[in-house]
Amino acid sequence: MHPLAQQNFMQTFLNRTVFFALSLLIALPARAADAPVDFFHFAGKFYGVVAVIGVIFVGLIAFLVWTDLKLGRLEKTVFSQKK
Amino acid sequence: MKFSWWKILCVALLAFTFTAGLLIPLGPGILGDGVTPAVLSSAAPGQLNVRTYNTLFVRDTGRIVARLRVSDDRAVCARSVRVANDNELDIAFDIPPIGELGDSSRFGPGMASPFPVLEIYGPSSGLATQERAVVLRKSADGYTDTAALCEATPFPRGPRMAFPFINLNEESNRNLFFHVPMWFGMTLLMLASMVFSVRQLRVPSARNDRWARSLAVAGTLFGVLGLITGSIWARFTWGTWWTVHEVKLNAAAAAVLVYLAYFVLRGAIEDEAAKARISAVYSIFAFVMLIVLTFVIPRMAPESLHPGGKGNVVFSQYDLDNTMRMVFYPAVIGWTLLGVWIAELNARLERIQEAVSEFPSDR
Amino acid sequence: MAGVQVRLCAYLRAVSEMRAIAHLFFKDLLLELRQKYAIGGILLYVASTVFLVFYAVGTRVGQSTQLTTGMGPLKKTVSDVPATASVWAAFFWVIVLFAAVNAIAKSFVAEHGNRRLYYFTLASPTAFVLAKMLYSAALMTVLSVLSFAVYGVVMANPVKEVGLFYLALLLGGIGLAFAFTFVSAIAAKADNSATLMAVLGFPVVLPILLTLVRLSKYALHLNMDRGYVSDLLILVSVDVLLAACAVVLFPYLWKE
Repeated sequence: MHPLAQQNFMQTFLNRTVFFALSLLIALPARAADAPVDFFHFAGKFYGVVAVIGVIFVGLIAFLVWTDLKLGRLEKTVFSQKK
Repeated sequence: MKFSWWKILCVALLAFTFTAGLLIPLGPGILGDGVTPAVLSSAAPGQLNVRTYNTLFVRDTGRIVARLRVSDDRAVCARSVRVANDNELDIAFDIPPIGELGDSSRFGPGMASPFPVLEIYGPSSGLATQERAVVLRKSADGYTDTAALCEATPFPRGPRMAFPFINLNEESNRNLFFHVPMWFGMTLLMLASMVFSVRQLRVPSARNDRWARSLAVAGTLFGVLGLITGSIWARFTWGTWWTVHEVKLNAAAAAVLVYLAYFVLRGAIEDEAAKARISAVYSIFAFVMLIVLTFVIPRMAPESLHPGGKGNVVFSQYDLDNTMRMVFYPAVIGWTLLGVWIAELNARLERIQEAVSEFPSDR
Repeated sequence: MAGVQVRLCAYLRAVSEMRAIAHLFFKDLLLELRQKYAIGGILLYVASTVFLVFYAVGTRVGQSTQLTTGMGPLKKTVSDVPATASVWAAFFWVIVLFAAVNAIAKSFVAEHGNRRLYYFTLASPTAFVLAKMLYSAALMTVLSVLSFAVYGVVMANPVKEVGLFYLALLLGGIGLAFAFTFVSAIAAKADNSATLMAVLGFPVVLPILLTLVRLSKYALHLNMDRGYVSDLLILVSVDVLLAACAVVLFPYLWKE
């Protein structure tokens, strides 16, 4: 088995995606479930939600850029070895 | 890194969506349960206590105009307005005899008349309105004292850039920039996946198959996120996570299931060439089903709780104002590009895996 | 002159296609009639499910049972709440759905290997799939009407608008037949096709079933709106789209 094949990128990728989706699934309804009717009327909480969503967005983009960079490196290695 | 211009555009548009979509304030509005009492009689004095949202009544004290609009051009103007705090008012009316409210026929058959509309305007707050704010008991003999009504002149535009305040929705309005682009994005990604499937059937190639699959993965992810964001929104506005009374919801869930079956099919076929060909056939079929489920059935089905109502799949022109459009269209493009980016990464990953699996073994 | 010849050729080809379709249709019919156990099995399935539903629900629709046994201190009364029409409709469509799966699942699984090659020499893939779909539609029409009859006798018949209900049954049966025929053509290409058939088929028939449930609410007067025309149109358009998809896409499944 080639060392590159052992790393099983797909597994890592899937693990991360599933983890991300699960944390979204758990975090979002939990916030809404215990919300009183005028949940958003409370400005402090509003900015709390904005901050959480902002962190998720930044994390998502960072993850995509990181994956993109890593795939770029791998492509270089794999397709130069092939020739 | 393959830093293409569209990836930068994607990040920029999404950053704009998140910043503007979350931070632009909501316009002034009257809370759904904020008007007491619920019934006023005509030809009698009446007192209303009104609680509002995002208004600056203290700063506007003395310059507040409040009126109950009973038709397009006529209103009952307030006798006096007392400011309790920034978001609470006591309004006194001398209601003249009113026999008939404004014509509702132009709103279409089955549409309730919006009158009486409660309108409160302050120079710093802007205009807060609520349709059918109270039930106005009509005068017994159907007589309307037109002379006692004041003219409903339009108010100037509000001073701030703001999203419209919509009752029930309130701050969850902003979900428009997350929930709706998911369905636009899913449809566009699935369309692209279908195009690659057609190309796969014409000229079979590993690349076409990779892209068809990856785009379907991203599209399904968008579909699932669309369901989740929609479900949370439904909990907030309709009070339930899921309902059988909404065709769009159930049809969209079925569309996601159709694509989940696509991945099961791919997993069930061993031979690569056969897998590519058969899943391409199913993918085209699945796209037709997607169109049927998300466009044809919701358009024809009678009941819908979504804004826009009957015959309108996504939104009507009345639900979107220019401030929301300014964020909504970039959001659609940004989210779709994000989907393409995810698909691209997925396709590249698979290409590497295919290449690696062809390497000779070290041992 | 050349134009006439071209048109004549096209006409003759169309005629031969039609004859091929008719031949394949009657071949399937003949096979079905010869292997009586297949259709018998489905009818047995319908009968036993109807009995199970009757046993589980306990009463006929709209009729409460009241039984009295024993006398004096041993007197015992059993009474049930009558089943509602919506329960009736729910079970009915479940029965029809599974009858459709059972009846049509085998339509392509049987056609494998050498037999497939043999058909290939006889007819075009379009003629082949059309014949299959027409046969499935005919079979489903018969089956759904039979199911309605059995179910109506055992569980009582609360249908108020009989014409509308039969129309829904016909269009829905055709839709189910088309969808499952096409899906079984896909599933036959993979291993473990019975499971795959269910997985691929159910999401595809969901729009048909959702529409059928709505239509049966009109027919049972559970919903007094007069909005059933759009639902019938949905069924017709889904049927047409399914047929078009199958005809266009089947040749790609067929060739290898």
